[in-house]
Amino acid sequence: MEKLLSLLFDYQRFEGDELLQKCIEATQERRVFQGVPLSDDMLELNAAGDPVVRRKREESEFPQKPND
Amino acid sequence: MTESKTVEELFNEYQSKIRAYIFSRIKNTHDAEDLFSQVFLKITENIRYYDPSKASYGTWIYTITQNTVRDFYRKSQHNTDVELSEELPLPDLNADVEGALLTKESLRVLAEALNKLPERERDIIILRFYHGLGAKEVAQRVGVSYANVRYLQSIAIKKLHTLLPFSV
Repeated sequence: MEKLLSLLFDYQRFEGDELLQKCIEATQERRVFQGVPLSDDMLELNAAGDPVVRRKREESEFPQKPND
Repeated sequence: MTESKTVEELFNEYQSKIRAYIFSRIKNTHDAEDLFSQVFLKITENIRYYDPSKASYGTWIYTITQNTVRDFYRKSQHNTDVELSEELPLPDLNADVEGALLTKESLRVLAEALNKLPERERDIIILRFYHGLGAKEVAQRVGVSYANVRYLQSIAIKKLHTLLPFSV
């Protein structure tokens, strides 16, 4: 699969499919040009491997107590 | 039956694609223009051997273009004056197996499959296999650990296996 992906993405440089190009450019804007990194702190995965979005912690000088 | 095309017709139809490919791979404009000329010279010299039963014109020309860039990379390995656009690995092309997959439709199917992945997994796949970044650099770009890049990549590839009809 890795080889196939490399090949298809290389062919994209030649063929230039519009929808795939949009995916590539969106990634570039997020990760290459502007760089909006996600922190490891936000990386939580559910059993299916999908990311779980965590609520942003409220700014507080006191540590939050865990819910009982 | 595929209609035969003249070199002039192929030039008009494919010049922008060839140019886009070469310029995405080669940084130096002079070298890129030189390679562009080389590709059309090869097309002119070899068009009489083109077999429409083996590949479309597009796949045939893409293969010639990729091989021309590959040769340039190889010759440039010991020439520090040459500027490559990026150190991107060029995938090997087994024309008999994968050549049939090199169609606009395959790219569309890949795009649709990628759009079904969570954003972070999609980004990791694109950074790894389009930009050719190593897992460590992807980890920096995405802001996750090296181990998590490997983990998320494996998950994404498993999903793509089920989403792509032409997995090999």
